Amino acid sequence: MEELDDEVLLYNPTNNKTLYINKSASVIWQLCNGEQTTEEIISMIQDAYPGNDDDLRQDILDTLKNLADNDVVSLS
Amino acid sequence: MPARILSFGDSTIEIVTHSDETSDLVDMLFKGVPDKGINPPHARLEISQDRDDDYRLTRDEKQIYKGDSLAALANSLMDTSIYNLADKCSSGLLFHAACLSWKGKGVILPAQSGHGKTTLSAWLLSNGFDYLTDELVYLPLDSRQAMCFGRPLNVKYGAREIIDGLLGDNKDDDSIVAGPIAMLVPPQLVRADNKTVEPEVNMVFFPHYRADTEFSLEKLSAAQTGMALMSCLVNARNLAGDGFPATVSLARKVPAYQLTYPDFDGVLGTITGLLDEH
Repeated sequence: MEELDDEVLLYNPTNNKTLYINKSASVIWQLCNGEQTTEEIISMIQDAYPGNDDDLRQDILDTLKNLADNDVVSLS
Repeated sequence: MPARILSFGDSTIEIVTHSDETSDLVDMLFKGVPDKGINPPHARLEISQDRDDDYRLTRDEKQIYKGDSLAALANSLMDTSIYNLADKCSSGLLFHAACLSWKGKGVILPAQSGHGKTTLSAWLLSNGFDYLTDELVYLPLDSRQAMCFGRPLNVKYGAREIIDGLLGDNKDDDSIVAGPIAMLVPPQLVRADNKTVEPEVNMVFFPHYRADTEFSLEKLSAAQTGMALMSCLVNARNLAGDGFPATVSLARKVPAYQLTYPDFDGVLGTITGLLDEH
């Protein structure tokens, strides 16, 4: 893993895939520390960025799915 | 039995020929590739001719090509040489990329096949850039000094009209090898005073030719650059950490752009403008 400015680049040697995580997604990724559930992550981000909760929720779920599809996180 | 050594990075191979015709072909194809290596050859390619005059290319006695076409032999020899040189290269980053030099500043154009590297390279060459390769660029670890696999331009037939326009009176020159898939065009036919240099890489452009789009130039972040470079890294499996740390280190140092273009309008001014400013 390499942090470059506010973005993250992840390399998975088991499948030789590199994953680019932009500034917004890196906030979500950093909360995937094995201690929070998906709902807790959504709640934390909604508290930090109040506004359109439904859109934000969907964006977070999409990001988590992308991270899971790339074997970077596993969803509980 | 003439033998030509090909050296690239820390990888070396040997090509043995048995006739003036095939020896001349090897000289033409690999004119820009160093013939002295730091390591002994790890592979031996041999070109012979059977009783029926078919050409036969072998690698360590295993047959790679057999047929009566010198052009097809050239394509096969080029592909086999590149594969074998890349296969053992472990002292630096090896990118699938074109490389040119503008006033001593190195530019690399990393991209998968079909994105227009060769045609763009030929066009830049015709406009004053020095052409170094359209295929492989080697950067020693912790260095930006580019060593390029100096082969002729490998022009797909879809781009022939453009290349013929650049070649002008040279378009039917005997030194052009017209193969079944592509033709190999010595860069000196596009611009006679093309120079072979080993420039420091100053900028990266990821080219993408698309006929149905508008010209666009996007500055990439270091993370985006690292991601795109990793997809063009050829020898990852030979490097520590699969080349990821070294590639990211390069991405942090060199500005990079995504260049999408339907034709060459605006491309030259954009690239030279950025290089002259840098």
